[in-house]
Amino acid sequence: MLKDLFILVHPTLGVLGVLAALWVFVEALKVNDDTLRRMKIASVTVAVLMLLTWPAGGVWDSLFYGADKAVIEKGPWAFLGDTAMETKEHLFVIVLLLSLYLPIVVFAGNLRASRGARLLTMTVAGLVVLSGLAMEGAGAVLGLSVKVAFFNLMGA
Amino acid sequence: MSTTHAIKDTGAPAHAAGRENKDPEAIGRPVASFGLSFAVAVLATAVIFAIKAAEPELDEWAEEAFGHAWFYQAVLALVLFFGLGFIPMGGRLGGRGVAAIVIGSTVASGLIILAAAAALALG
Repeated sequence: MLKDLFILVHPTLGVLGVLAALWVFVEALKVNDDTLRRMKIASVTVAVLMLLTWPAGGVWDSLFYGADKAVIEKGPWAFLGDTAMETKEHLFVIVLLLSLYLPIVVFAGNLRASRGARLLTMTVAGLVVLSGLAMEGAGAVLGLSVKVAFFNLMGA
Repeated sequence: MSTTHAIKDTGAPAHAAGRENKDPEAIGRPVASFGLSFAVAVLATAVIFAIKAAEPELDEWAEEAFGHAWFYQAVLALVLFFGLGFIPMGGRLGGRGVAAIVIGSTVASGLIILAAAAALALG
């Protein structure tokens, strides 16, 4: 039961991080004192949530993924499942660094005066959203790979 | 003497320097430095993973020496990101330039990681 709940922790934190990055993106469309204050809060939120996602996903990978991998390898989606897992494990580094770079741009970029800093903020926030959604998609492929393997083993 | 000469870029944001920066693309040196260090860190991560996918013995050695990949790969990337980010560089780069570098390195790293993961899954 605890293991089943634990698997929900890292995708939940990741999705919340993606939503916070979307918040930064929208606020960056028009910058004033109020939006800048909210962007600072949201960008730090992105960094904190993604930093928490890192050990939450990593510990699940270390402790529980072995059993899933054994099942996936017996199913028809073994290639997709293995590719999704390896991609997630290494692509997350990009998401993490983008999330840590975002508050640096927001706090040090002089967004009120610099059009370039606003463009960079939207770029980094947009990439957090896209790469975060790619991670969620890879997680869905991984989950389906286990499900399809079980169906296959049961002869369904 | 001209009174409209460009303000020299000190790398500090305009508000921090107590003056108005006329360049709408100026982003400040810390933002440019960390943008470049981000590119180096993510490309290094992708290349190391590709090398490990090609040489499985190296992957086994790395896991024995440093623990699981989810941990040591991210730690290595963080060390590169913060280590290089505090070195002043890229002061002449504007927002568009850094954005292009960030997008390019993200896409290139993502494709390398996807290709290496697929190769690893094929065994």
